[in-house]
Amino acid sequence: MKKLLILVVLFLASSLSSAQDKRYEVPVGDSPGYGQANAPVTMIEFVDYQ
Amino acid sequence: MGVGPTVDKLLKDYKGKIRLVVKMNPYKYRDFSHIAAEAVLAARDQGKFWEMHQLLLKKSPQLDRTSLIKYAQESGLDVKKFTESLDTKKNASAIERDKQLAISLDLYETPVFFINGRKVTGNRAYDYFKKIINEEMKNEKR
Repeated sequence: MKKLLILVVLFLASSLSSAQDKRYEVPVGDSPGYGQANAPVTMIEFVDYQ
Repeated sequence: MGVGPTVDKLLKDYKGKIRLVVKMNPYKYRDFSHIAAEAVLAARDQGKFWEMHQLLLKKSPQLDRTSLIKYAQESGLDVKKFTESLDTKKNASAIERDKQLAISLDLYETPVFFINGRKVTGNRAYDYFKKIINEEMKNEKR
């Protein structure tokens, strides 16, 4: 029972910490890339080739 | 070794699940950063962005004008158009727009990633990206 309680607390703590992650609004615009526009995950990379 | 192979592996392992969008953030005190950004956008104008993007990540830091033109030739681009695009800085305003965006986001280094808006700075390991992507896919399902 105690073990279960610890697990529940850990789960809540971890979901809380990811909920607190700041999300930035970065416009995609007409930038080039790879993959489908409707993909569930959009990864925007700022690159310097040198 | 840059982050290129890590991103390639993510795109392969999460095929169809990730869309990668590339923004230019050339550092002004490096000799070839700007011309390399012009080169990938010139390739984009000919429908070969991805090929050139990957090639330049691999060839970096050998990114002088002569080398870039050679890469364009090897990639089957229209070399005359490509060279003209480089020399007239055809995509300078698009590059400047990306740079201003980077400044507004307070970015001081490269690479920086935003995964569904969550910031990841530098050459992080594959597993670090994987954890965030998995979390985002889980959120998507809710």
